[in-house]
Amino acid sequence: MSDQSVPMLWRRIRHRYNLVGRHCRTCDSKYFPPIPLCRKCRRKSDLVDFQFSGLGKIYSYTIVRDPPKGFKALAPYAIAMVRLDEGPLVLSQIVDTDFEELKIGLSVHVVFRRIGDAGRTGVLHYSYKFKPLRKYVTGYVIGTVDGEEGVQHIQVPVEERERTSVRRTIEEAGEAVRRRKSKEPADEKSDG
Amino acid sequence: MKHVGILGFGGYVPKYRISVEEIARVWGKDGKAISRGLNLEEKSVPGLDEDTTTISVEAARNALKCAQIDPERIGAIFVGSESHVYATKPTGTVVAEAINAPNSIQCADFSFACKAGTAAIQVCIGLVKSKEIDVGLAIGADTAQSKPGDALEYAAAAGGAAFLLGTGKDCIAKIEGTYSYTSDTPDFWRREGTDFPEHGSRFTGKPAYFRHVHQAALGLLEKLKTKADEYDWAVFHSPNGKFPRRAAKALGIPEEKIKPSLIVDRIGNTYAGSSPLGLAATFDIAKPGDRILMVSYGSGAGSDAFSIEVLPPLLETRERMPKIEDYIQDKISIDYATYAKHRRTIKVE
Ligand SMILES: [Zn+2]
Repeated sequence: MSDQSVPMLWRRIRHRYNLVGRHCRTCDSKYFPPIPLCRKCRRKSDLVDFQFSGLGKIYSYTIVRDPPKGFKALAPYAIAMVRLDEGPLVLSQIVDTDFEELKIGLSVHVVFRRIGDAGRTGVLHYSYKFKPLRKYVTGYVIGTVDGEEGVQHIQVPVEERERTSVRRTIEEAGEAVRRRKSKEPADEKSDG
Repeated sequence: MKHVGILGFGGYVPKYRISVEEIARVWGKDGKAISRGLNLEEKSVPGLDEDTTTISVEAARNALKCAQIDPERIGAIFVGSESHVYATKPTGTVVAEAINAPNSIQCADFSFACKAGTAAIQVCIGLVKSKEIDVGLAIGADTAQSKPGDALEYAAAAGGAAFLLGTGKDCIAKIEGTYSYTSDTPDFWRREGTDFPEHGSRFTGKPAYFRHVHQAALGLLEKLKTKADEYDWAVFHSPNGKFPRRAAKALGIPEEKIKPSLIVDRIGNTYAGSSPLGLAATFDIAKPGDRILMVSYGSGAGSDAFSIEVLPPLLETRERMPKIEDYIQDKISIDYATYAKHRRTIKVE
């Protein structure tokens, strides 16, 4: 993470801190991380910011015992593809686990963690990570919902706000161009 | 002017624990005796990717879930800690973004050793009372540092709690009044640019903790014309399990009344998070009409005393987020080597 520039970090703050992606109002698709155009609707896209609930299930996972530089202190740690309840797949570290409980299909929820510190003097990077759901966890209650065993998300009543300022839109378009040039996939890479 | 109240509260304690006996083993000390002497079994340790900022965010998110208010209403965010991650950039800037607070907020970091969190609450009360803001968010959180082998190492822990201050019928508690007592008492300090705090050993007791806690408590009772026995619960800053018990006794408050807030026995001294977490744990069990006396303590030195009355909405709102007890029980025990890695006293690339 330490090789990321400060402007790049700053642009990602919003979607990383709050799991904010995009919702296409034309076809109802949801995307994370945010993309400038709906993959299905292209020019007919009608995208608004969308904050994911932070709930999901492990789609696949592995334990990293031989980590890349910068992640040595964390090892061993678990990395998983998490299928968010709203659809998208996100690659993330699974924290606060003894590994034995990990399995495909395990319910997880989002937490706010540090993902990099750029040495002793750099900017600190924060982002989402996921953690196995327990009886009670930050804002989510596992219990019987409408007679069915499930997870109930206690939502803070915030309307789907359209905070897509012109500034952000320009930046995201710029990032899309950069991505196309470097043939980098739009999906979120490992955040450590 | 109507009373200012608490609209929501939320706490957070990291999952890792190290026992006093395990720390004592490494330094060749009698763990059982130390554990008994401090009234302390184990302490919380932050994860490798946790710090004062992440703890503040989790606590603030819990407080918002409790209050169910639109974060756009927040007009001020103050985070009190002695382990802010930056020397100049306020922790509150990250917290604000992470809870969708608006850009139109007042924001600053507070520091006053272990009472920085209650100082933040007091400032929010003032701003709400003067109608300068609608809702204020005050947080006390720490990942306390201690020199390896130092007496502080047995207790220095991590955790925090957040409070949304405002007015109206949705308040879960009413702040009846506060009173502070401050003096120049150098019992514990950390100089700029150094990693670990220094302290005056036994000097931290009578002239420091006990004097300030008692003076603040007595000052509050005098100011509000109340008596110690009119309170159903009490919360004292808890540097260990011994001090709050002695402070309560000296004020004639029986131990049952401080029991809910005595989480220090199992998670250690969470510094700026200590009295805020103690208050949160008391809210988890209190009933409407109960009165709570809270007295914080910050080295250097000062105490803030609060008189709080629990209101009916608490019963419903506190079911919306995890209890402090849930966090305490959800734990992973670690040995000293893992602890050293977590506290970054072992340097890894
Ligand atoms: Zn579409």
